[in-house]
Amino acid sequence: MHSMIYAWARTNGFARVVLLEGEDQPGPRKSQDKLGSAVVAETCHITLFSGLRSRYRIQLWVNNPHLVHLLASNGAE
Amino acid sequence: MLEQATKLCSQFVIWKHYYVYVNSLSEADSTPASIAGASFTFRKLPITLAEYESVARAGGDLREIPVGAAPMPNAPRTFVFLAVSDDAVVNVTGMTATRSGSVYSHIRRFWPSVSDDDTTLFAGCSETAPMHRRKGVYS
Repeated sequence: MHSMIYAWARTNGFARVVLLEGEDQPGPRKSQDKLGSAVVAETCHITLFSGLRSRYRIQLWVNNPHLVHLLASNGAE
Repeated sequence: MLEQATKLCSQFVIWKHYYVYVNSLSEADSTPASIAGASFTFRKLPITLAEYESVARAGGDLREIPVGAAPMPNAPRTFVFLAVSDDAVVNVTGMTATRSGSVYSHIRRFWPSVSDDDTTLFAGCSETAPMHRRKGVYS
């Protein structure tokens, strides 16, 4: 599907596609490697007070590579 | 004890590790592969990527969302790609040219080295029908 979409995008004037793939998605990540995609950043999505209703939760995206790898090495979810 | 502590902790904090990929489309083949027995179509819809993902994840039929009578200048430009076989959707994948209203508006600053403009597409979720999973449909 993605090879077809990329071909469509290329012929319709688009120059690049940006994707966000979770670490728990090895299949899509492997496919992106084969399709020539490059990793440009790593991030962690943190949900605080996750046991509460959604309106009370705090959601953060972390860019600090040290913190990202610390959290990743301690298991996602 | 540790297990209980971990369970208690998960009531307060959850984290998930993500990778941001960029495909510069330079290797995109002009004659793309096809999905056996399926036809490939796309729809341009005036909805945000978040709205697309909400429908796609709920199993809604993206073919039923109206395109809109006339294009609005500031309406989101989201493209929904469908692989259809025997009138059933094999895979649906959404991409948007409108970063606003997507997760990318929160994380765009994380990769300053790559520029983006109107020629950048931001990918949303890709959902494959259960019976077609593990057949390479995503690729």
